[in-house]
Amino acid sequence: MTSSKPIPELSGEARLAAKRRSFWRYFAAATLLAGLGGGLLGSGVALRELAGLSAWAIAAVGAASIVIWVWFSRNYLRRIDEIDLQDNLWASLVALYFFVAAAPFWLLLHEVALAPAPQLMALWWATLAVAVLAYFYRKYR
Amino acid sequence: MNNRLKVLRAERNWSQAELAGRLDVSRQAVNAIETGKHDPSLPLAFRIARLFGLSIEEIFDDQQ
Repeated sequence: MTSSKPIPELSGEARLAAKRRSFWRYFAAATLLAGLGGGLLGSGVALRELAGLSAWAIAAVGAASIVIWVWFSRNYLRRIDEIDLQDNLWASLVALYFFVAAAPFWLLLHEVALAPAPQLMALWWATLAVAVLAYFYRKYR
Repeated sequence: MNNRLKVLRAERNWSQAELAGRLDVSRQAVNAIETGKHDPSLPLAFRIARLFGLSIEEIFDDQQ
């Protein structure tokens, strides 16, 4: 027979504090995992040159990282409240529009010899920066 | 959208964090709703109405 001892009801502030602690623990663990994954991939690429590691092994680690990242993102978006979700969606949309406009514009400038060839990683970083700026603008406006 | 959330919260002596914990949202969410920066979703509006024992129309007013 199970005990029917009543569970003390927490105040809203205590519940919010517990939820925030749980969220930051989760976020820290996910960030640590992402850092480890990035480090593993980076060292894998370096090892490939040094020890002849198979390209397929590196591709497999990369694919696994993408799967974990997608899982984390889905989990993260389910944990946050609707306003944070809306901020994330707006930031993603602004970043998508930035990329859709910036990539062909850079290519156009290259075609008319006004700029060097588009750099994939430069566009990637710029898109990420735009998403982060848009997110924080919405969050703290 | 105008709303009476701040008044209802003050009547109960609740902080924004207290209300946020009871609604299972962040404190920033409560602040954004109170200041009219964000209109809550229908499920959240129902949660707010249930928490205060009022109808949605008694809390939110869509007249500008």
